[in-house]
Amino acid sequence: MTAALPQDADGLRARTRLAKKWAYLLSSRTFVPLASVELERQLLGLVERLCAGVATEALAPRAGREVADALVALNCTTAEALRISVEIVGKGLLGMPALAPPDKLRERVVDVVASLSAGFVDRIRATVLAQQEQLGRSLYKAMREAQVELQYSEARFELLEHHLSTGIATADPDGRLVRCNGALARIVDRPTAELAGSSLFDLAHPDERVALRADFAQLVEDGTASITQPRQLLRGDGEPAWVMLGLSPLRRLEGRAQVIVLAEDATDVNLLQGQLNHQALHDVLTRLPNRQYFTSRLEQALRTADPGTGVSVFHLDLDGFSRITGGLGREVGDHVLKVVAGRLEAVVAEENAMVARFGHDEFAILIENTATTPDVVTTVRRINDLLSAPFHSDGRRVAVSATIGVVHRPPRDSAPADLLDSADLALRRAKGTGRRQWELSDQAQDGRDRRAFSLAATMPGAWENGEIRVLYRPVVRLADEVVESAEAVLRWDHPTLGPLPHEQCLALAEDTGLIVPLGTWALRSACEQARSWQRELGRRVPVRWALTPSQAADPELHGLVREALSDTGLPAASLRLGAPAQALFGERGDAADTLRYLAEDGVGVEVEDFTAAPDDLVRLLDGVPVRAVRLAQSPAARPGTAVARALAGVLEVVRDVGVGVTAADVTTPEQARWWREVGADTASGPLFAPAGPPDVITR
Amino acid sequence: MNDLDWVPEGIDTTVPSVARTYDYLLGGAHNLAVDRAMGDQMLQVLPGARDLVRLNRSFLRRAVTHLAERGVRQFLDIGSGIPTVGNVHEIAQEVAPDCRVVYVDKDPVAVAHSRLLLADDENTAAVQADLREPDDVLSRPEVTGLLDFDEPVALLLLLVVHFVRPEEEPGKLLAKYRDRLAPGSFMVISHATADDRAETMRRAADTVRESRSKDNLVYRTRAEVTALFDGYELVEPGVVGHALWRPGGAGDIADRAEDNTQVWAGVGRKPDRESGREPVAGAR
Repeated sequence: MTAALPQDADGLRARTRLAKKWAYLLSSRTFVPLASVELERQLLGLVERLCAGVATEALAPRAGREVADALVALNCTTAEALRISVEIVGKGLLGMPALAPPDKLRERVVDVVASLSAGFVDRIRATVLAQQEQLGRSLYKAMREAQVELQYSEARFELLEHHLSTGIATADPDGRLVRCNGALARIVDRPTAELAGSSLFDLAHPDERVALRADFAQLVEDGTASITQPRQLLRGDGEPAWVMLGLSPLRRLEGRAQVIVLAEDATDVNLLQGQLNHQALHDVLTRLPNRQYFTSRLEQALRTADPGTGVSVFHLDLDGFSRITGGLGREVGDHVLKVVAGRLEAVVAEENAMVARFGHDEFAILIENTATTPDVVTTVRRINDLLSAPFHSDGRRVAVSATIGVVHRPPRDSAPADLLDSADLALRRAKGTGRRQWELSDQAQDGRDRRAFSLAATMPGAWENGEIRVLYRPVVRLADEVVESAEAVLRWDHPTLGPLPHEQCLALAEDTGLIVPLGTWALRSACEQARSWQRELGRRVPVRWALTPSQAADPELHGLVREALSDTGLPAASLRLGAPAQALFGERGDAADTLRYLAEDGVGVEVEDFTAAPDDLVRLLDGVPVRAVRLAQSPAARPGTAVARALAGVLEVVRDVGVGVTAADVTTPEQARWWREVGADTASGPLFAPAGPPDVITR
Repeated sequence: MNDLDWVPEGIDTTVPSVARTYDYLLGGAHNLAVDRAMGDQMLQVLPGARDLVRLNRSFLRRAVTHLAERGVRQFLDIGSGIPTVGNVHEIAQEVAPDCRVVYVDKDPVAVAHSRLLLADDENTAAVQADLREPDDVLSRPEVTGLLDFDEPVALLLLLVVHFVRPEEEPGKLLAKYRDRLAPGSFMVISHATADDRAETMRRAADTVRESRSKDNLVYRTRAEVTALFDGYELVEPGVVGHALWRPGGAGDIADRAEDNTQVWAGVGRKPDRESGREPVAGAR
């Protein structure tokens, strides 16, 4: 082709100039992967081909197409590149008159440029299609490689899953096992088929379920990292399987995350440690969790329980348990505790709950409430209903009851120790009202109880320091107001709180158990004092001591009284003991027996706080050896009322069987007249004389 | 909600790819509608984008030619993208046919494409790996098989380091590569900057960020780019605008002066041991 070109110096210069200009414009508009010198050299070749196309008509179409192909190969693929090329080439060729006859030049140039344009379009189209096809193949290849990689990963996972001794499971967001391997089945000793579709939480030891659920929920919710904890799973035979349990979230294309569960068998390693742990956290006798374990569980439950329903804590104390062990022996006592443990667990079997043994005869129950949890009253009733069913132990029929302190739905930020204190305080209040009672914790009441208990705690020291004295309250005959006997009462001269009266001293002493030694001491002091009055006055002034419920129930009471009488030389008839109506008339006969023996000895037994209720009256008439009954001051105690008439009728019956009547706490002459009217023999109270030192009697 | 994070980056055809967008701006057709949409958006914000890409490609050509002429026969091109025209092996083998090149990109489509294109060339390989994982990159069989790290290697990092965030510690990252390179090796960097036209460049970065691509542009100043050459001796003329690094002709420089310095570029040489100038962090 080039052979046809004019080889003159001017023509070459013109072609070179055209190539340079073309190269400059192209390279500043589009990326050409060549140095500019090389680009100019290549473009010069193209210019020469175009010139040949103009010079020889037959070459025109081919020249245009070849140049177009070359341009596209040089990455001159844009519309801008075509525009530049058409403009530069067209104008340049028209400025080369030597190429063709003057009348043909314009036509030939247009032919060449036209075929260049057409060739460019064809070439571009082919290139774009080829590149798009290549891209499509590359996309497919990349996708395929990713897929192969995925299949490879799956195969690798399955291989590992099959061969590892670590238990592996995939759980759905609700904890249901979607798949699991043979190792997991071996660890928990259950068939693989049984595991698939079962809940991870059911597989966990009941003690661990709450914590495990919390971990699990956290992972599903927003977890990114894994959680690994030593945990217990349940084997098919109910035995625990110790594992290091790893939970890792597995994010999915759609929906909530799944969780990969890794269970590394740690049974062997943990067998020993597990036993030690178990012993450290459980009561050996009942196998129930102990106080420490209960406390940590409580701490956790406070955090994780549904705020809408909260938790409830029941603190139980078995009524009169010491009498079971004392009377029936330790073995029966242990058996009773085991039975109680089992029954308490049965009561809350439907609940997410923990039953623990706190101490000797104390138990506690923690319930994480749900919408279906029965209310506190129902739960308390169920507890006592179940406990009261008699059972045989060592050939004897035994039944127990419990007194219960309840903390219901405490604030989430409560400290477990405070919460247990509250439950304990509520329990003590409940015990104050009798057996088989229960009390709900109440903040204000707690505060008062706490003060009282701190006071009670200092009581033994105060007694030793002589701050607690025995005072005497005269009891007078209503007929002539002559001192008939004296009642011994306690007084605590507290250095900061001032004198604390008898009732408060007793309540404090009863709470701490100090009542037994303190009561014995008071009783002996009273006996000594009565003996000394007898010597001083030459006549008997009997002394009276009102037994507290625990004193009355003390199996040692009979011996103690006999000892006090013989030590002081006081005749039995000079001692009167007030016994709580409940102890005397109660269904359980221990206290009544003791009092009967004392009465046989000649001690005057009197009924304290006699209500004149029909039941008490019937029992009184049944022949309980009672010297007198004492009635408390009644607000209705006004002469001439219907109550007065009714009471007078009852008391007449009482006196008919030879039982005396005495009135307490008489403060006004009107009250004294009224008592006289209803037939009381004696009375005491501020109207006659307040309690005072022994000379209040001799004055 | 449809979370497609699990799909390997670059295969999800609803997410633009930096590599394919680059191809589009270079005039190629190895791209999809999403890539072209991102390219067009970029052109709206930064009308000179095509020129920047062109100038950067020219800089690559000059740098590779320069290094091949200085005797370097091994090239590790990380962030190589879609190979279209003027690829490193073509440029280098133009100077010396025995030049060996490994292309590394994290975009699986770019890598698949490279393999398709390079299938017949024994002296090239393509690896899918991430610049930010030097241990992985440097231990790939394709890399260790084709490149001899006892001999000088040219590490090419064109328009890629600006995707490394400061918290990913680009200095420490590059030191890992440098430690592996023999004395007499080179590192080539081109890196976008917002030293000029800060507002325009911020909008350009926003365009990338607002696309669903996971890559975000981090501009660095000239001093920061210079600091990336820690442990290297800068080859004349140092860190300069990419068009101004040894331009060879009209097409190497843009009409708009600011396009010439919108990307900082430089070539560093790891000093010879006997020169006594042990690379700062290179001693093990």
